[in-house]
Amino acid sequence: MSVDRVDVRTAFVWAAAGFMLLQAAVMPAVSGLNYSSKSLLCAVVNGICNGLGILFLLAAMRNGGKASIVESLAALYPLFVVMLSPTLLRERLSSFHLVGIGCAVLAAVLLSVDSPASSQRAPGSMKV
Amino acid sequence: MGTGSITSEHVWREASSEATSSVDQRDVVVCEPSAPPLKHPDIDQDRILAAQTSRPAAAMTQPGPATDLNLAAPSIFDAQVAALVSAVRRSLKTKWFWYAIASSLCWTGWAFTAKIGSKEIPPATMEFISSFGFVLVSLGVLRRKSPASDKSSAGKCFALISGILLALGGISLYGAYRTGYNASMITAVTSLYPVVTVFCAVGFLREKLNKMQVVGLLFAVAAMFILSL
Repeated sequence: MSVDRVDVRTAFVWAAAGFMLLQAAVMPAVSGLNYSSKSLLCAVVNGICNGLGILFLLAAMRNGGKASIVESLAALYPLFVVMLSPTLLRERLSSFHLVGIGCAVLAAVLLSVDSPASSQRAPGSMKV
Repeated sequence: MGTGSITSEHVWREASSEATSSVDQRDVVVCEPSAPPLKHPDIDQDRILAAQTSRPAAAMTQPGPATDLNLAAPSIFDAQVAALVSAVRRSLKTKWFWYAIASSLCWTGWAFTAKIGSKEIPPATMEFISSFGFVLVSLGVLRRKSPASDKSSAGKCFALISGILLALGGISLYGAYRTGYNASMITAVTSLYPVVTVFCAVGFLREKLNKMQVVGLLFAVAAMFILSL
């Protein structure tokens, strides 16, 4: 509803403002400097990835994607996590995971079957 | 004389019963008057027999038009697959699809950094520190000028509410983890949040989904549940 009325960048900045409003509620009592620089870097990169994910999500909706489809497609990120975890985290895939991967790929294909009218480019689309 | 006499009627009956028992059923079919004359009887007969043996029994019992439909079925299936492929190709050319994939990839990075970082940092502190990363992205976005047309206060208000709800969602998630309940079950249940989005989008935004997308959503829900366990 937001990106129907304002630009993606404006929507994101206001969403970030709303996000920061409640961060005081989770402000830790312990200083953040007690942790290793690697973990702190991971935490900051975590926030950057989260922010970029939301930015791209807003851009997808602004460019003609339906909220229901875009949200469901983006929420399939565990597919990439499971596929990359053997390489990056040295985790082993079970047959259960393979079933999940199959379902996710099938879901992505079927969700992308959209009518031509709804996939038209919206006016004022964002340039990233 | 009376009992041993053979009349002409007896002779005719004997002859006709012998004839029907000795004649093969296939010969009767071949000799049907409706059957067209064969130009090359040996070759054509082999072809007919081969076609009859290759067809399934159910198809052989059906009359002509139904058999034609059975033969045309693969072409209808091919047409449906071709329509599906062309629809997917059409979506691959749209920007929204690739933005959604980019979003998915960014959250893949989010999941990996969360996994690595949370080995040392508690979840709530992780949420707080990661908000600085969120601010960094906001600062990067603020450097670019917004269009002058962005005057809608309703749009900004909706964006503000979405940010507050995002933070509330994160805080609630960490609160759920603190209860000590099975973490994988909490993750599995919370990963199904797009279901709520779909209901809201269909209910409030009047979005229409085709049959393929509805089936896709069911597969997506199954995949999210399985992969988050």
